[in-house]
Amino acid sequence: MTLLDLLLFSIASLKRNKMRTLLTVAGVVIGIAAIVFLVSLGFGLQELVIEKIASMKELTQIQVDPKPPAAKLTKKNIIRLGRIEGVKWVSPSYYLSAQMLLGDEQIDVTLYALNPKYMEAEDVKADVGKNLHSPDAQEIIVSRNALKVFDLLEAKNLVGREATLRIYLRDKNGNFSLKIDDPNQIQKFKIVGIAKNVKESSVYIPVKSLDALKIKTFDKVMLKTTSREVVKDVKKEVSDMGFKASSIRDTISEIQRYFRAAQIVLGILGMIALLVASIGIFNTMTISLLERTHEIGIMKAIGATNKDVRRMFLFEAAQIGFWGGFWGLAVGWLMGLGINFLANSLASKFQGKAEVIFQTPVWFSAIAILFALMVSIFAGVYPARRAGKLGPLEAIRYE
Amino acid sequence: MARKPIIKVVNLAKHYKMGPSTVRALDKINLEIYSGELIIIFGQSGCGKSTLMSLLAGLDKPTSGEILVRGENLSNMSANQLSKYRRTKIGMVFQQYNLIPNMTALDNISLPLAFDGTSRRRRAKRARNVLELIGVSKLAERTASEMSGGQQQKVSIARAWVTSPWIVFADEPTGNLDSKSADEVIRLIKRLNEKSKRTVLLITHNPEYLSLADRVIYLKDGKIVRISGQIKGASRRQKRNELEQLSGVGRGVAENLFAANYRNMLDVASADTDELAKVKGVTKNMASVIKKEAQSIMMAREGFSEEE
Repeated sequence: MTLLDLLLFSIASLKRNKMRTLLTVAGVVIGIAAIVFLVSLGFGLQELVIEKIASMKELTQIQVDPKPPAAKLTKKNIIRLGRIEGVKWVSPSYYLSAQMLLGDEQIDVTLYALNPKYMEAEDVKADVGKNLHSPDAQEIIVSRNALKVFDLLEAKNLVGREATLRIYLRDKNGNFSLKIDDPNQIQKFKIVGIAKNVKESSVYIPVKSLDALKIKTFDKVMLKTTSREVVKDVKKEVSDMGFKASSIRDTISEIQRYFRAAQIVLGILGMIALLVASIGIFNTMTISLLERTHEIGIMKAIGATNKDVRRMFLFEAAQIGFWGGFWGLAVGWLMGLGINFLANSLASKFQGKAEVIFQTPVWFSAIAILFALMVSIFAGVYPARRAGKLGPLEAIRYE
Repeated sequence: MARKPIIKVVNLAKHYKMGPSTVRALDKINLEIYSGELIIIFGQSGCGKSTLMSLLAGLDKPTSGEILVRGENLSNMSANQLSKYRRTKIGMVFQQYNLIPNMTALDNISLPLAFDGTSRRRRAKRARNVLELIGVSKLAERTASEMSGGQQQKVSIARAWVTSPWIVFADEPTGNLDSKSADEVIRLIKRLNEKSKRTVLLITHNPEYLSLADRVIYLKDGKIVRISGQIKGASRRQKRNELEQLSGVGRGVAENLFAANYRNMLDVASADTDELAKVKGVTKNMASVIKKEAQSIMMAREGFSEEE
């Protein structure tokens, strides 16, 4: 028999007892819907958390920390890091303490010297004014907290004003010395932007401004890779150079591990429903076998092989599984969609942020249907074998 | 003319264990059936005729003995080979019609072809051809519940015929039918046997049909009590008489025709004129005349047995 024939035959036999077929399929629908619903919740929550931790941009970053005494982040080493294949740019950073003089006010701030490109990546955004763009300009961004002493409403007026920074250097032990030995320690900058989201009192300056201060080693280096795929290779190369390399991916994979475990637990809960459904399929196929014993006898008498009969039964079970899986996926997915919609409309009512709670990835949808198919075929194996083994003469006499 | 039997049965026995005693359903059956014959297996119920058919159809295994179909021993065949034998070499007609209930007549008829992997289009065409041959094209789209017993049986005959089998087994095909339908079904089987020259094994307990058979095998208590013998002789005389109907054919010429293997009207109608003229007592002129005559007699007969 051809596969098309088997398919059409199985559809015809399933149609003969529509109610029973529908109920059996409904069992699978419930099982698969439960799995899809629960696992989608797992996926959604996972995405939600990961999204909170890392924007997509940060997934391509690697933080390089020195491993003294051998691996120091000297300028030479930073250039070497920048030459690794797959690295888009490097941003050495260095933190200092400083006093900012603005008009009559003096404010103590933490000074972050970095590559302006890294500002973006670090998610420090100027909410007022603009970001640092040029690595050469004498420009700074100031956190709003640093400006607390000023009236916040004046923030806008501060953009474009000139500020003087008295920069305190670190000694060999890492302590700040409040001495000003070098005229380069006092520099004038133009405030170009104000960052709202930063908790501390801090000022961001382009790392180039420190060139004159002859800083030998940096605190850390941020590497931006060209794509997410190369992160692993670049990390390995950085480690080979003796540095400590870490990326947000490490954290994310940790979180993913926890969520995978949660998804498996949720999936198992859904699987219990599917297990019950598979017993339903077994039951339906066994009853169908008894009802059709006579018919199987006829088919064998006119030339059906044991394999033909066995496959006819397996195809029926597979059909139940496929349609159960298909509609189960649809129901589970729609339920998630419904809850997303409800949650979002509630959120918008209370001015909250709209979030996607249920997420059903395409690959998981495919697996859900495949799983339903497999479970159904498995439940159909025994009845199908029995049908295949029926002796034609006994079967044909069976009424 | 020495012919090889299509079915040869040697010392066939089928015994059932029933508690402590053994029931000998069939015992010491020896039989030879030739291609094109219409054989009736006749006997009272319980005489073993259905058991014999089950064995010949490969539905059951004998206790001992051999069944050779064109030289091949059924006992040596695997389950798959037996399935293939059933769907390509034999056709089966049952007393209960045994159509698959949710399928149309057309689908039922094409079922053996489906098991054989024939394409949907080809088997639909074949099924329609057979329905037309049997004269019940109008039943094509009906399911079993929409047909009378006689109609169902005709469809089941079509199903047996669709694969062009060597042998068709019919087990009490009229057992569930009223006398009119029974008559139609029997005449249909007879006509198909003559027309397509397929071997037919008809099982019946109705003595009315015995005259239709080329040979009758009488079964009683699992044993053949009479085989061919007089019956075959009677049949031969009857056939010869049939040929005597042809103009200019006397008793002697009829004997010669029979000896040259022209046994009935169909044989003459489908004969080659030149070959026919080689028979002793038949001139070339006469050969073409009697052939034409036989053809018109056959046509009249077929028309007669066509659906009204």
